[in-house]
Amino acid sequence: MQPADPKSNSALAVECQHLTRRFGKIEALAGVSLNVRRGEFFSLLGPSGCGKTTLLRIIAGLDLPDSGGLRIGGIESLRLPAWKRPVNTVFQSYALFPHLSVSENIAFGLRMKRLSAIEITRRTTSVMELTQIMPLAARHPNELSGGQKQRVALARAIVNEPQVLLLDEPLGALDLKLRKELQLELHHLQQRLEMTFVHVTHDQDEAMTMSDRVAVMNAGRVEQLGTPEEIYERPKTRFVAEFIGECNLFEGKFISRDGSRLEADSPLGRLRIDLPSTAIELAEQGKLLLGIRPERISLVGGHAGDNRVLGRIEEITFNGAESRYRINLGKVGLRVTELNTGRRDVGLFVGDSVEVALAPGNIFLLEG
Amino acid sequence: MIRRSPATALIALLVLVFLYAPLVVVIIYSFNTARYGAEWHGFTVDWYLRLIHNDPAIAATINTIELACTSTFFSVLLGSILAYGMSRYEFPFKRLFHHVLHVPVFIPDIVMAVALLLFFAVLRKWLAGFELGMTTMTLAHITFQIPFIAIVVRARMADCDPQLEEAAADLGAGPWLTFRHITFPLMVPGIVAGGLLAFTLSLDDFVVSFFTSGPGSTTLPILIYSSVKRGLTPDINAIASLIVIVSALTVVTVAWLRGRTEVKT
Repeated sequence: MQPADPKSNSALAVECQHLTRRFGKIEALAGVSLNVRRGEFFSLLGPSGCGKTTLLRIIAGLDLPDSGGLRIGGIESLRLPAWKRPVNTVFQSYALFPHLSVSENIAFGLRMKRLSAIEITRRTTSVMELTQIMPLAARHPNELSGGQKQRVALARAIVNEPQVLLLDEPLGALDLKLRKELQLELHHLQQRLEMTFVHVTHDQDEAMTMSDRVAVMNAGRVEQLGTPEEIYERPKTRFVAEFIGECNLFEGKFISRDGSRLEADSPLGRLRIDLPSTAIELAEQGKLLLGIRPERISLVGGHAGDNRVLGRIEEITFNGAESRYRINLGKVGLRVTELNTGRRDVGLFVGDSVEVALAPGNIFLLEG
Repeated sequence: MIRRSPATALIALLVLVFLYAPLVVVIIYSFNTARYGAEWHGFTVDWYLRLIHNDPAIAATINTIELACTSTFFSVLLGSILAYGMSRYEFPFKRLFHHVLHVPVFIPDIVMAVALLLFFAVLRKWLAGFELGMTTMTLAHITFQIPFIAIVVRARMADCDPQLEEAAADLGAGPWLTFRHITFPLMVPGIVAGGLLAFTLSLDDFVVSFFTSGPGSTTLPILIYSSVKRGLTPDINAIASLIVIVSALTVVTVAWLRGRTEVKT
């Protein structure tokens, strides 16, 4: 049976079960299942056309899946039309009503709920103060800048105190500096309101900075779901490793395994790899796909027990805070990034031979 | 900056003269004391004052306004609904329908008039009523007004972000509240502009009115036509001048409304 009061019960704000959606020949969602916890900042991250916006629209009730289930706050919601769902959306185009002033735009949701005029004024005012748009109250949307429109769109949604706030690329149309500023603001706002945010973006930086958890999507599927750290440190698939941050990828061949310690043959020579858990299942033979982040490779030094390979510096790009190196290891190249801490006594130059150190725990194993 | 050459200015001036000189002449001659001909005898407002006692002219004015108001009312209603349906719903042969909608705008008035006359004759044969008169004229005017209104309103709706309606639903407004608070207010400038356009079309229409009118349903354009057959008189000039002024005011209002709403969106 359904719980009478969803707020007291379910710890899950949104539950998606095997959602599928086709547009003609295009499979926008190919069976997506994921749960969003109450009060978390959850991001759907992926390239355009990966199905993230479709999923958001299905949660909002603006689109219907071909099959699957959806619960919002523990309540089966697919049959509820958009206007009866306890969610509100911040649209990418903002979709502010051009014939209404800023304060009328913000009050719209409350008016539809038939709250008293006093209550509407009180809540509208407090949200405008929170989002710092009080001086704009009487303006019309065409008299606002992009950043101001964004704040109004946000205020118009959160004033309704939805169980889940849906954000569709909310910062996509803004310039970089403003985007960075509003990223932080959104993050603080979410923590302050303790509201569940489901946020769609193609910007990995944005997803990493703001989110508690991220679902990386590709071609209508969730490739990996986890905290930003998990996704960055332990990408599961080739797509995730390449989409998020930079990555050196190379093939390996299985040699032996002892618990969580794996030995493999690779173009870098024999490598020792520490798996994050002994429970990882592995076809104990054949090809492996291995990866390591450029900043996880040490050029000189390293620790005892690291895999060590000799190489030659082929290119150095100085980038202020960091330097990027391209190392030739004979059969393969490696990209290495090093922070310019000034700790190294001797500078490195193109053509120098270096001993590259790869810690066994920093190498990860990828599916496909 | 583009430099204005004297030649451009001169051409612009000539075009303006070409466009407005006849209208200016009519207005000037409506103040002429002379009863006949093109000679200027002196200034008078007599012809305007005498219109008040010109019963046929008064009756024709009432008919014209009544016809324009009634037909505009119904065509605005039907044309707006048509525009809404065409921009919000998918249906078979929608593209074809879209093109067919434009046909009455292009076909010559005379063809439209003959077609309507024939159509009413057929209806009269099979159904009771449809005697030529105000009713047939109103129906005829509604027929040619609808496409103009539908086209103007639809253009207006095409300018509006369809996501606005989704946003309204997202904020808790059901279909009716969304229409009332969002869609309809956004349609209004289009409806007003289309309505005023339709109103002037009805006001000035001669060909269709002439063919579908009956006894007692003479409108101003018909009255002017039949009077002119007996010679140009200054009272006709006065009536024509008044029509020019009313039409011009309407057009200016349309332009003003459009300008005002474009700034707003």
